[in-house]
This record gives sequence, C-alpha cells and structure tokens, in this order.
Amino acid sequence: MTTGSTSIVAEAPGAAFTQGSVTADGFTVRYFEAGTGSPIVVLHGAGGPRFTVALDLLAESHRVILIEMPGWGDEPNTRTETLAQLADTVAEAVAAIGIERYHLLGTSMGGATAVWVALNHPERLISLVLEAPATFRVGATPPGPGVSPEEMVRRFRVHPERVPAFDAPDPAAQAKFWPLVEKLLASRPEYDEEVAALLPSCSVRTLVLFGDEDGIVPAANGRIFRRLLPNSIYLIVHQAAHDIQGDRAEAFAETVGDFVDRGLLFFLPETPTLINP
Amino acid sequence: MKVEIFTPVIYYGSPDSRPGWPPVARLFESDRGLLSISRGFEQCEAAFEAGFDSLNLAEHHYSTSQMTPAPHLFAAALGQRLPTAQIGLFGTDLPLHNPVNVAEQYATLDNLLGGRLRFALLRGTPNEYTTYGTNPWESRERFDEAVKLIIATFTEPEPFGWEGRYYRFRNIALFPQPVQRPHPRILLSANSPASASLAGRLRCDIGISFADPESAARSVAAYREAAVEAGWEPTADNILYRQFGYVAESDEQARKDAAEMNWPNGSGLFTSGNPELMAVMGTAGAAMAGVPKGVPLDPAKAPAPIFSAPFLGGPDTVLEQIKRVHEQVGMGRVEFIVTGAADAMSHENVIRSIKLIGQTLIPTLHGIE
Repeated sequence: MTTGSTSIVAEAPGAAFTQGSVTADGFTVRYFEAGTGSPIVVLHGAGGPRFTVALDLLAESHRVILIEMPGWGDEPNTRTETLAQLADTVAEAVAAIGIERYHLLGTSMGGATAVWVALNHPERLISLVLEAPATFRVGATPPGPGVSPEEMVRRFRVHPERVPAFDAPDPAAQAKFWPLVEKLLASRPEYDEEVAALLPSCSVRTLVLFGDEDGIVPAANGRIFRRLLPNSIYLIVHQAAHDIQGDRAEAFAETVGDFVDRGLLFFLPETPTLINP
Repeated sequence: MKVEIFTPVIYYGSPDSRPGWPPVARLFESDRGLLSISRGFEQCEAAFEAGFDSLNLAEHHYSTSQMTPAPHLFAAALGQRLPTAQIGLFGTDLPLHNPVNVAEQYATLDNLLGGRLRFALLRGTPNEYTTYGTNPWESRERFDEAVKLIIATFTEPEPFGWEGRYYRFRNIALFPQPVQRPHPRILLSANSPASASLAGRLRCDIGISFADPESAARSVAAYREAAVEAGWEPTADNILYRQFGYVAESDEQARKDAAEMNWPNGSGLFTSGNPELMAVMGTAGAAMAGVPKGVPLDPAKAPAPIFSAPFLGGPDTVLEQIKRVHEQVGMGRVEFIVTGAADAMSHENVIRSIKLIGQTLIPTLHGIE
C-alpha cells in the first residue's frame, strides 16, 4: 500500500464475529460466532483461535462458531489430560450453546481433537472436516520454541503475505499454552495406534485436507485417514503449506462449504457448463 | 551415449497437395494416409534394426508433418510390432489436456509396452493453443500445476482429490497403475533455465531441442543446480539433446540431399500463408514466453529462432558435430530427427540415412560416456 494515497482498507478478518461464553465441564468457554445457516463448529490449532478470510467466506452462508478451547483463553487449564477429554469438553460446550448437530472443522491440533469428538460423539456430527490434522505426524517437524521465525513461516505458509499475514506466535503467549499442547499432543507417538484402531468403525462423513507444501505435518499423513476411515475423502490443496486457510482462503472456503452442504455429492459439479442457449 | 530417433510420422501427400497450417481435410487422401502410416512404421523398424536405443514419437495437431495427434495409439501399435523396443513419447502437450487422463493413458501404455516406456510433458507449440482454444497466457502456470498433479496421480496410494489453482479433481484413483512404479521416467523440456530448474526440482529427465551448445549448457547448469538443492544428482543419462540429423555417404552427398527439398524445414512447420494468422501465432508464442496480455509485440524485438545448425554430413563430420555439442552439454542421449518437416526429405533417403547412422555412428557413440 503506497503512503499518502487514498485507499479503502479492507476490514480485518473476523469483523463480523460476535463473542459469547458458556460454562462447560467446569470451564468458562469463550466462543465467536458469525453468519446464519448450517452450523460449522471450528476448533483451532496449537496457536489459539484465529480469524481468517476463509472463515469469513464460510460465514456468508453458514453459521460459523469458533470455540476457544480451555487453556487458550484467560483461564489456565491444568486439568485436561488427553485429547479425548478436551473433545468431551468441546462437545459439552457446543451443547451448552444450544446446537444439537453440527459440522465440525478442526485445524492441526484442533483436528486431532475433532477426531476424538467424532469417535466419542458421532451422533452430534453431520460431517467432519480436518485441516492438516495433527493425529498422525509421521515425518513431521513440530512447531514450537526453538525454530527460527523465518523457518517457521516457510513451514506454515507458501504465501505469508496473504491476509491474515503470518506471524510467528508471541513467545509469551506460546509459553502459556505450550505445556498443554505438549501434554495433549506433542508427547503422543507420531503414529497414534489407539486412534488408528478406532477409525475403521467411525462412519462420520469426513473430509481431510492437506497442503502439498505442509512443512509441519507432511501431507502424506492424509492417506492414513483415507485408508482407515470408511466414509472419507483425502484432498490435496496445491500451493498451500500447514496453514491452508491462510494460503488459499477462497479454495478452502469453496471446498469446505461445498462438502458441508452436499457431502459426497460434491463429486458432481453443479456449476452449469452451457455456454449459450 | 545413447542414440535415439524421433519419427514425426510424416504425411506423404501427393505432389500437388499443399502443405501449410492448418491443413485442409478435403485434400487428405486415404491411400496416402495409409502409406504414410506404413512408412512411419518402416522408419521406426529400420531404426530399431540399426541399433537406435529408443524410438520416439510426439504429439502435434492439425499437421501434415505429423500423423500423431494421438501418439499413444501409434506407440502401442509400434510396441506390438517391435516387442523389445524402447519407446519414448516426447511428449504430451499438457496444457491442452486433462492431466488425470494423461496419467491414465501413460499408465495404460506402459502396460501395453511391458514397461518399455519413457514420456515427456511439454507445453506445446504456439499454434497448438488454437487447437482446442487453450489460454496461452496461463500456459506456464497451468503446466507447472498439471505436472505436479500427474506426479501425485502416479504416487498417491489411496484415492485422493486435488484442489489446485487451475485443476479441481475430487476423486482420483489411477487404475491400472503403470508397470514401472511409481511411474515411467518423465522428461521435461529444458529449453529455458526456468523450465530446466523445474525439472531439477521434480527429479525429472530433461530434453533440449535444437538449441546452440552455449544455451544448452546454461540450461544444463540450471538443471543441475536445482537438482542439488532438491537433494539429488543427475547423470548424463538424464540429459537428452534433440537435433535434426541427416547422414549420407559423404558431406557432399548429404548437402545435396538436404538442398533438394530444403531439409530440415521443408516449406515450414506450422506456417500459414495468412499473415494475420501468423501474427496470432506470434502472440501465442509471446504469451507462452511470459509476455503479458495486451503488450504490443515489436517484431524487431522478437527472439531469434532457436534452431541451431543441424547435424549434416558424412559420418565423420556428423560425429564431430555431435562431439562438439557433447563437450559443452554433456548429454547422455542424442536424439536424431532424420525426416525433417513434412516435405523436406524423401522416405527412401530417410531409410538410407537411418541404416548408415546405424552402421557408422551408433557403435562409436555407444562408446562415449
């Protein structure tokens, strides 16, 4: 943007979202909501909840609810021991908001959490979308303190200039929730045998998305879901790294929106190809 | 050094048929068409007998110089006639096609050939963007994505989808898989340092066509540099150099044969008598090279044609010409085009030259690292 020129500054992502909170499982759980229509509950990654252009686009035709999971808000969380427990807390929070059944979108660590919601509360889910889920991390390099900011950027983003611009997490904020991430996820084996054994009996309709340049969780881990989950799709998003929403907002919103609305019918394009009558 | 031959499968039309682009269907004679196909096979069989290491074909459209807009068909038939021949399909005009179908065709062909296949993915010639109405300004970006999609189609073990910038496929499950797993060797053009870099990054072979040795050497350097960055080291075998080549008994005979019908270019490849159409080709070519839409083309600034001097002469002369290129380029594979364009050389001369190359050059070239 050139200085001294008149320009229309776009609103930052998330401007349409309003804040609320519920009590669930003994925690005060904050959430952010925008849009109307079919509900999509969103579980954030290890860095905490983020507003994105992709979620703004989804909120144009869906009710999007971002949950701030306990430990990433003001309240510390030393109680939750496992992702399954975190998933139970999330399910309770969504029920407390008053949503019976919903689509669940989980990003990275939030994806690993969402998998446990699907395993233990399948009746609640209309469908499941996993964005670079951290369940299986074969060949992965974990994010966290000790990696240089430049290196971090490359692993998360092919396009760090796109909105929202990618920032390496603030070390103070990271110090707050990293022990929780370590306990719930980073200390788990890179191939989760327990989840692998449970997936074949989970019939939740699932879309797994991985960026082909993901430098945090290699995209090949998406194949594991396709192999084990009976009603699943594995989709490679080209020219995206770990932060798919950040790298390719429009493609993400269009694909996820279409999957959420039509399920496997999204194999059949609806857009007309008639050029002229 | 391996020695390969590219056979365009020329349409040997009657003397009064007019070449030019696009060709006129009304002027196609079925008996000439069948004759041309059988001559194409004859040239390939002669090359196989002569010891050429690979028999190569290409995809070109609407052209009297090529009876192969669908080269896989000719390749499959050739593979049946010559059950031990190596075949190269150099190559698919990728921006014109559905990349997943391209992978399906090559997987099928590799099975039909029992694994005797290599293939190239290319961007096509400027005229070919008018074949189906393909956007030439998107040529490079579409191509880059399509190559990666094809490689993914060959390497993903589970059904998967691809949400790209130009290609959207939600349900890909390649079957049959090729004989050569995960896929046959893929060759990309290295006619520019940018394309050479892509090939290095993607661990593909490279082909350089008609370039002078200095430009070719620059492309090879870019290829090697990108490969090292990607963690591997190409050998000479990964590098192919294509050139028009005609060998006769003596230098004098070779020059005489070439002058007779203006070998190698004949009356021109993909040239039209309509200057407006030629201007469209210029625009398409510029678009492919990255000139943005709407930028007026200054003919004075057009890049010089990239055809360097062909290999032409008696056996010793041509050997020296190849060695001189090899000194700078270091290719492990040299690919001859003996026919030239549509009306540039008689079929009889082509056969004679192929046999002569086999007798006098191939054994020596095989002995060069």
